[in-house]
Amino acid sequence: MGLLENKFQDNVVVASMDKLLGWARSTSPWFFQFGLACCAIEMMATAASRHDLMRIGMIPRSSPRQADVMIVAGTVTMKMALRIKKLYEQMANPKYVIAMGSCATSGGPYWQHGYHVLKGVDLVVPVDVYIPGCPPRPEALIEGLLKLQEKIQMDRPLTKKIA
Amino acid sequence: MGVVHGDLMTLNIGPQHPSTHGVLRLKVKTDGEIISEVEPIIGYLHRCFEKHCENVTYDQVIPYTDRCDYIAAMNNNFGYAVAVEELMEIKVPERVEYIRVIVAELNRIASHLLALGAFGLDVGAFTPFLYMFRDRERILDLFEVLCGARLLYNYIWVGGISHDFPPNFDSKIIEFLDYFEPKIDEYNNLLTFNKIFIERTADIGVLPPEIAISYGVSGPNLRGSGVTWDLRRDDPYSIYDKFDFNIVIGEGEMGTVGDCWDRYFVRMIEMKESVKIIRQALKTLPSGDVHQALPKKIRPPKGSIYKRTESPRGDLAYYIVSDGSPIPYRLKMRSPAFTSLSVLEEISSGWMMSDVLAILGSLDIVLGEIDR
Amino acid sequence: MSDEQIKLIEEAVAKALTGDMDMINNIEDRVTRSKAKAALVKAKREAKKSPVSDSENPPSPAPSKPSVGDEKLSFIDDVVAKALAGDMDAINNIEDRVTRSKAKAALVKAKRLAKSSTVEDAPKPEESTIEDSIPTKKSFYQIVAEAIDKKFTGSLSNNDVNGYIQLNGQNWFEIAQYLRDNPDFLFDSLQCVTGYDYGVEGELEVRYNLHSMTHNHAIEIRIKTNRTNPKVPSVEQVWRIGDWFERETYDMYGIEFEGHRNMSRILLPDDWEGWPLLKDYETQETYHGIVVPKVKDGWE
Repeated sequence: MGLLENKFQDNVVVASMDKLLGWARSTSPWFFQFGLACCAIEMMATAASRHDLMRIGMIPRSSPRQADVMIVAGTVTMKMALRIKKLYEQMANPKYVIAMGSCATSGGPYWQHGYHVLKGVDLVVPVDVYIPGCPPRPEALIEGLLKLQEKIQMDRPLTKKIA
Repeated sequence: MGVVHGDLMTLNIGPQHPSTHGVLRLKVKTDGEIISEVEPIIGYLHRCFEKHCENVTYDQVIPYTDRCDYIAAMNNNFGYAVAVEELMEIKVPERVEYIRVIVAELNRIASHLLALGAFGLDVGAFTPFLYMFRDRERILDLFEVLCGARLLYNYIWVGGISHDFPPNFDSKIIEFLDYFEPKIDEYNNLLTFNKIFIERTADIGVLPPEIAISYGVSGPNLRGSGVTWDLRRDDPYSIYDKFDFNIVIGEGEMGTVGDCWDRYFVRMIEMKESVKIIRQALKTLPSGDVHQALPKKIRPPKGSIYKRTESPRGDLAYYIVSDGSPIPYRLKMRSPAFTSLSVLEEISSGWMMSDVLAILGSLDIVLGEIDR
Repeated sequence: MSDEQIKLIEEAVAKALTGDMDMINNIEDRVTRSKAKAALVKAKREAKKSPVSDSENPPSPAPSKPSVGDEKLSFIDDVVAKALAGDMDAINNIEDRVTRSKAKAALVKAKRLAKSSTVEDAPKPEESTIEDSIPTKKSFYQIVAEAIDKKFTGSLSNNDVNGYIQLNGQNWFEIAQYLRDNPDFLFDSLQCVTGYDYGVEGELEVRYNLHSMTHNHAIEIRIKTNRTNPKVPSVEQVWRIGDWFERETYDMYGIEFEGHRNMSRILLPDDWEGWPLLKDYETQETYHGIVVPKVKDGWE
């Protein structure tokens, strides 16, 4: 951008629209407050006093319509799997899914004999970030969310993709 | 002038509603704002606990008991260990018993803090939730020092515990208790005697003692109805008969005996009693080797046992059938939250829509334990 | 393993079978020694098997009958005779743990017999042990069982009430009401209902744990039912918690509770196939298009 350099005052930033959108979206991904099992308690602990999720722009929403990120926190069962799919479909685009804990990632400790446990939430919805742990510590969840923010930042919503 | 009844409307709450404490679905039939029928639909978290138990060895069952009641994992480990030990006739060292009681009571406090905080959230008080989580984090820190895990500990084993107390751990617990005891008054000022809170909970969802017993309700919910029943005193396991503590019952201070406020207040005062037990146990904590009685192979003799213990939610029982092999032939868990939830249908009809969530919150359910 | 070692092991085992354990124990190399011992155990087991399979005994011997080869029995007799003569070493030197304990048990028996034959009028030891096992005071289970039998004749499956009461399901609803309301028992709380599967060929069973808040006592009641069409009377209207407990048992075992007002699945979805806690349960392949078993594409 040699032409534009030093042509403006200090408080003007020059960037592509794509990057700006990515940056803006990445800093306020509201998450769908949706606890399933043990991991939900750690998710609550992350949102509560000590770890305070709001400082990285994450605000819990109770409705899928208002949320950008769905954190699948806990074991997904067969009975629940169809609901998860429905909830995911209700979210507005662009939407992201985090599989929190080993149950949501792969079935976890219920992998072998769990006849009623879904072996990984990625069998029903696409997953962006997997967080290992049983349950993951709040720090791990925050790291996962930051990784998701990185991913959102790289999105180029305006760029036409060549098929 | 007769009462005009409109058509009943069916309303679906859950399974992803924020007030249902997990994945519970309530099918509510309402006449305007008045509830005429509530049908809880459970099973959204059925994780096949009993099938797993029939396929893994006795010691491998312990992590699964953790995950059943993930809010009070120590107490679930405790109940299972006590049951298997009684089946195998193992006598555990004195120090182990003391340590178990201390951690179980600490976890009871943590569990009650979460229950009370979430109950506050249900009736619209957000701030107490933050206060209670702040203090719960301190207990979790203690457990983390003790066994490395924050939530699911796998700490109490059959015949012993996984680690002894680290150095100076007693003083850390004392420090916490000294910090925590005055906080109970703070919660009381903040929430318990708050006018709005009392309006929302007193006289709501009254649970008479006969109905509670017929529905198998136990623990703080039963004591809230004025029944003096606590397995720690009435069927003492481990060394609970050595400690001096009161059994808190609901007295209808703000309304009728057995209302939501009573169930809430019983939990609040029970935390004080737990603190009392921990202090007594720390004072007389004996020394010794905690791994002394750990069996090399857990192979209980043929037979069955039904053993109950007092978890923060009530009578937690394990029915274990052994066929002499290292794998349980049948293991059934009688979970207190399962019975507590079944009473919701009975006590919530006739109340307003918003009261149902208050009643549900006051029952303190954990879905992992209901669905197993 | 070298030929030398194999030869050594064979020799040692042959010697040990005749009773001379020294050669095995004296083998210096630890690995060879343990191998020799393993070979010895194998040889002994084969020796034990052959008389059983040769004789007219059925393949599954009755549990009460000791399935010990004739050689061993005569060996035990020899040792016991020696021990009675004062030579305890003979018994203590038996290598095989099972045989040793059997020999010791035989010795105790022999000693007791000898004692009772010498001391006149002394009660026979077998009798005295039986007397010990029956308490003079009736156990609580017996009291309850007798009360049930008196009121509802023919509803007890057997009179052996050791730790539980076995009913045959007849009149169970009335018995439950009786147990709840009788002032002596007052079982006002149904603690737990457990389904139980006796195995792929066996029967199903329902186990009830009752408890009385007033008297603080508890009993266990068991009712058997057949596997093809399992049915048990419902007690849902006696204890209200029976409602959910019975639905859960139905969900896991397929046992139908007659008289239950809402007999449907509680934990699993309504359109689930099979009864998961039966021992011969096989998971269904898909549920609404979702793969149920553990194998995922590209795994394993």
